[in-house]
Amino acid sequence: MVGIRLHLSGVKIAAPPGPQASGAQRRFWIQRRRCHANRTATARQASRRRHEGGSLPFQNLAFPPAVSGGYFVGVNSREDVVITGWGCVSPLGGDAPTTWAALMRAESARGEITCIPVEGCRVTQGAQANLPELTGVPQKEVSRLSRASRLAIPAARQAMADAGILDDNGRSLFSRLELSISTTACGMEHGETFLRDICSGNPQHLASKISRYPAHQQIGDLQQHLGFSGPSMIVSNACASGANAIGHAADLLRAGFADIVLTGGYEALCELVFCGFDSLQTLDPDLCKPFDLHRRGLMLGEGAAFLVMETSEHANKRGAKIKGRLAGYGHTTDTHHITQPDPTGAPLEGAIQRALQQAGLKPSEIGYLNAHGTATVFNDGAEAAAFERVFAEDLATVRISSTKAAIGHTLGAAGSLEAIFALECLRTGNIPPQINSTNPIPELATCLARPGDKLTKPAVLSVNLGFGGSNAALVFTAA
Amino acid sequence: MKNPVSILSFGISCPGGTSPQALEDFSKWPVESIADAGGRGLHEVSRINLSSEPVNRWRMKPRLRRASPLSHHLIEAIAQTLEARPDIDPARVGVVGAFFLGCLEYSVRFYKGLSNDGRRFASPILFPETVVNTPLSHVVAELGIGGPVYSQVGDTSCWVSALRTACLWIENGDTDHVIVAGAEEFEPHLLDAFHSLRWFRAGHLFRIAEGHAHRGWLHLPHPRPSSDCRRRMSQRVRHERPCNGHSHQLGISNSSFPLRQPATRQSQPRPAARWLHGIFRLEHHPRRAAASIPTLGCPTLGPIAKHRRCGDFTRCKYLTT
Repeated sequence: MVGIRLHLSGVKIAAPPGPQASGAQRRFWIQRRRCHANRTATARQASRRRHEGGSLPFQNLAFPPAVSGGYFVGVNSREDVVITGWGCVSPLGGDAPTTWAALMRAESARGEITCIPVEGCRVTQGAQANLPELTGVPQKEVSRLSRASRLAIPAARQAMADAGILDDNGRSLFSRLELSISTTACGMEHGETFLRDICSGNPQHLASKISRYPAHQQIGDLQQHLGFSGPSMIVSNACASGANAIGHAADLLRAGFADIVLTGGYEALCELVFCGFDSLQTLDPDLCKPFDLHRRGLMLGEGAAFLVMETSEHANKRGAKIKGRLAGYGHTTDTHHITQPDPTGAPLEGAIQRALQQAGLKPSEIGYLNAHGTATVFNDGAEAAAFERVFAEDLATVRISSTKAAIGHTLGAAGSLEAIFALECLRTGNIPPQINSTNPIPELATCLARPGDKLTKPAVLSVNLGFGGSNAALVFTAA
Repeated sequence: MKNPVSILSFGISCPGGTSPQALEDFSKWPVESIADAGGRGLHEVSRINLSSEPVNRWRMKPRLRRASPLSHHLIEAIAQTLEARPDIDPARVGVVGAFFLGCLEYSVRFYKGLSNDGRRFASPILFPETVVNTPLSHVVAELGIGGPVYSQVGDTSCWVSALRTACLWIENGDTDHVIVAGAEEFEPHLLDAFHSLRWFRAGHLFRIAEGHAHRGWLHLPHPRPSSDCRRRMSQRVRHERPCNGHSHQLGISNSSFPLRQPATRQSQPRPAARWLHGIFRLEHHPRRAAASIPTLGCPTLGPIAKHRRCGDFTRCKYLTT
C-alpha cells in the first residue's frame, strides 16, 4: 500500500540523511527538524490555551465576526503580519523608489507598444516597462527567460534585498522560502510563439517554447536565480490575483504554515491579452481617466512587484526593520456577470468590510484608498457605489486615487504594485494624486486625491476587482 | 493543522463516466485517434462525451451556453460533490480550483482567430472564456456557491497546493467547507506540445485524457468529541449522513479502510487515496494494465505517478511514502 502523507504545515520530516549525505543535506535536515519542532510546540500551546478557556482572538476586536459577502467571516488569528521589504518593476521605473517618485510627479507611462505586435488593434498604446538588466546572468540564459521572468526576477531581488534576506552573492539567506505568487498570462509569449510555429509548420525549438510557457516555469526561474526552494502557490483570479496572493501569504503566516513568505505578482504584455481587451473595446484610445465622467476604458500595462512578509516574531528575531503591517484582508466573489461587477458594489463592499473587521479598524480610520479604478464605465461605477456605502459620511475625508492612470492595468501584478504604493504612502505620508480625471464623477468628486495631499490617518486600503467576480481588499497600517 | 479535516463527498467527470468506478479501470475508457496540428501522426486520446448525461444537463444553462467544455465538466463534478451533501449550504462553501493549462481550447481558438482574421476581428465572446478563473466563476454563479474562490495554476502538483489552501481556509475559520477541484481539458495542440517534449516515445506508455475530480472537505469543529477523528472509518461512514447512496457506489466497507486510522492530515486521504493508489499501481506495473496512464488531464489524478516515476520530489514537498 502506498502511503501518502500530506504535510500541511509545509514541512516534510524525512528520514535522517545517511552516511553518504553531504554537509548541506545534513544542515537542511536539521533546519527542517527544528522548524517542525517549533511548529509542534506552537500548536500545542494554542491547543492548551483553548482547553484552558483562554480568550479567543476575535474578542479583542472592535467588530465581532459577522456574515459578510455571502459567507461566514471568522477572524481566527491575530498573529501580527509585517512587511519587511518590497521591490517592483513598473512602466514608470525599474525599482520602487523610481516608480514612486514618478507617481508623485503625476507622470504617466503611456506610449506606443513595441514589445508585442499590435498592428490592426483599435488601440496601440499602453504602458510598457523597460526590462532591467539581470546582473550576473549570462546573456544566453537571459535570452531564454520569458518576459514575465525578466520582470519578476529583478522585482523579487529588490524585495529580498530590501528585507535583508539576500547574501553578498545575491542569493537568498533562507534555503526554504515560501512563495505566494499571482499572474494571469504566465509566459504567454512562449505559448503564442509555439502556436504560431505549429501553424506555420516551423518545428524549430518547439520544446523550449512550450516548456517555458506554464506559470511554474517562472517560479522555477525565481528560485533558480535567487537561490531558494520551498512550497509555492500561484493564484490566478484575474485582476484581483495580486491582492489575493498577498492575502494568502498573510493567511499562511497567521495560521503558522510559514514564518516568512515572498509574495507578489508579475505580468508581461502579450498579444493574446492585449488583443482580448482590445476586442472587448475596453481600451481607451485616449488617456486613461479613472472615475471621470468621460472615461472610456483602461490602459494595459506590465510589471512585477514583490513583498517580503513575515510574522512580527520572526522579523524581530532576525532584527529586520519592519516597514508596514498587513492588518486585514478580505475577499469575496461576485457572480453578477463574467466581465462586469455588480453595479451595486455589494460584493466589493463585503470584501472591504471583512478586511476592516480583520484589521479591527473603522472606515473613518482609513486615510487613503488605492482604488482598482480601471476607468471602465461599469467598474468605476460599482466601486464608487461600494465606497459610498462603506465610508458613508466619512467618504469626504478619504483620499482616493487609481494609479492605473499612470502605470496602466498590470492585471496579475496590479494588486501587488498597488499594495506597494499603499505602503509607500504610509511610509512617506504622501498620497499619489489621481491624474487625468478632470471631470470626476459626482460620487467621488470631493475625495479624489490631488497633488500635495498628505496622509492624516493611520491606515490605508487597497482594493482590486477582476474578471470572474474576484474582489479583494487589503488594509495596511504603519510599522 | 490543529484540527482534523475529513473528506465528505466527491464528484467525478472523466472519459469513463461520472462515477468513481470509472477510475478503477482505464482500459474501459473510450479512445479516439486524433491527429496533431503539426500533421505528425495520430494519437490516442480519451475524451469526455459532452453530449451524454449528466454532463449534458449544463449545456443549456444561459451562462454556460458559450462556456468552454472545461466549465461543463467542472460544474458537473462540483455539482455531484454538493448534491451528495444536501445538508451543506452552498452559500457557505469555498472553492479552490487547480489547473495546469486551464481553458486551452478557447485560448487556442481565440489566438488562431486573431492570427488568421486580423487583430481587429478578435472575438470578444471567446476572450473572457480564456481567463483562468472563468470556469470557476461560472460554477459559483450557477450553483450558488458563496464562499471564497481561488483558481490556482501550476504544474501537475498544484492540486496539493490547492489542498493546502483549502486547509488554510478551514484553519483560519474563513469557511467550514471547501471544495477542492482539479480540471483539465483536451485540445489537439496538446499533442504537438507533448510530441515536441518527446513524451510520445516508443515504449513510453502515455495517453492524454481530460478529466475532473473534486473533493468536498469538512472542518470538524471543536465541540465534536476529539475521539471522533479516531473512529474506525466504517463507524465514521455510518456516523456521517448518507451521501445519496455514494457510500454504496464507492464500495465503502470495513475492508476498504484500515481500522483505527485517524481521519487527519497524517492519514491517507480516503477514498481518493484509492484512486491514487490505483494510478500508482498501474504506473509502476504497466503490464498489468490494458491501457496506459492518463497522466495529463485532471491534475488530481496525475502528479504522484509522475513524481514517483521521475523520482523527483523537489517540486512537491508534501508527498512521501
